[in-house]
Amino acid sequence: MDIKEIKELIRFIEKSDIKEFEYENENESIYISKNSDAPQIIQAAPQMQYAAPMQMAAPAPAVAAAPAAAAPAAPAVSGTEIKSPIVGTFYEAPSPGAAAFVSEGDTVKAGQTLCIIEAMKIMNEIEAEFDCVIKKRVGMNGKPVEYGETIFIVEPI
Amino acid sequence: MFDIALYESFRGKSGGIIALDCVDSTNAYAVSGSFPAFTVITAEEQTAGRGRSGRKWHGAKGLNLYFSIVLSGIEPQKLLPMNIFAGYILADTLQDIADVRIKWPNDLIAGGKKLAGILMETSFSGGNLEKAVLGIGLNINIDELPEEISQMATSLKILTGRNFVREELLALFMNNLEGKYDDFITGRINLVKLWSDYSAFLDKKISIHKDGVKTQYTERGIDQFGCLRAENSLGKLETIVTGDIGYDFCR
Repeated sequence: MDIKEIKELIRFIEKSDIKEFEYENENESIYISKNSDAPQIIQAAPQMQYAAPMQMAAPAPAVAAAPAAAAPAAPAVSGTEIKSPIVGTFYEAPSPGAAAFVSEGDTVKAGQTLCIIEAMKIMNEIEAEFDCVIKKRVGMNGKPVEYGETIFIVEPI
Repeated sequence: MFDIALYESFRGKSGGIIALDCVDSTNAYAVSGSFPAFTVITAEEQTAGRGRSGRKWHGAKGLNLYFSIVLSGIEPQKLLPMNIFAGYILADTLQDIADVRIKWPNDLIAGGKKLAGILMETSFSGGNLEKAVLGIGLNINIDELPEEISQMATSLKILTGRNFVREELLALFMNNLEGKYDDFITGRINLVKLWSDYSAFLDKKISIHKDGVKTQYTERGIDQFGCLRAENSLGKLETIVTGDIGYDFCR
């Protein structure tokens, strides 16, 4: 749809009783509204990235008590996956240059901090739900993690 | 020293405050203990007070406020809006003193410089949000800032030339927070609209640092989740939620 066609469409709608008009095909979408509180025209409206924060609204996953059949990120290591409860950036240490909360091979107690996941400047400390041994740290320091993404593989004790 | 009795008289109730002289971080103290909702932990000095990226908040004994508040009843999906709500409450509390505005997500800006910083910390056990605390550093009566930060930071004293009673400001903030908290939790506070009243940079050019790259945008407010809406140079709206995001503005 070119600008001339859009102008024609607007003129047509303006003269009509149509309050709102929406059209969509594979490549483009157009939305025209005469309601003053709605946006006038949004063409080729990009899919807003609501997906990320909305994922937080989903029920938090229970960490599987039984060892997972296979860890997708690291097939060589088997164990229980600890997944990120929120979307954010994975940090292995409390501050840059500080020692990591846990290292592979460490035995940790329930309640011990494993990592921080930061989103919008909120520091979320992720604690172990049960006593376990860290078999693999899957989350990468300073890199984003998605909701539900595996961040550690552990062996419950 | 922080005067608890004075604070309580302004607050209109007693208890709910722990005033420490020196602590590693009030947030760490608040997260590690089991305190009732709205318990306030203050400290005259923090040895490991932290900001994002571990940056230290410039401390000054007895002049400013460093405190953390224990929050309750928050669902994980309310965390990001809570971050915005906290900045709004602090800006709102200080409106009678100075034209205080918010830089996303919740730095407080006055006279083009940073007046206060807010850092939320939570602890999750598995997928369950167990604790959430709100940490705030507010520059009040400090009138001389070290040269390296004086270009970026300010205080209420620098802005107005007056001294303020820290206990009163903290009590005003807590009363404001507690008074509006239920409305926030039940979704009766329209943060998207409030943002347009309080943003320091709405419709202004900003630059966002992400993964080491600095990109220019125009700020277009926030969405219902508290994420920043920023328009890129091609006129396309992007939603900024996370990543290694710094945020500054072009002078």
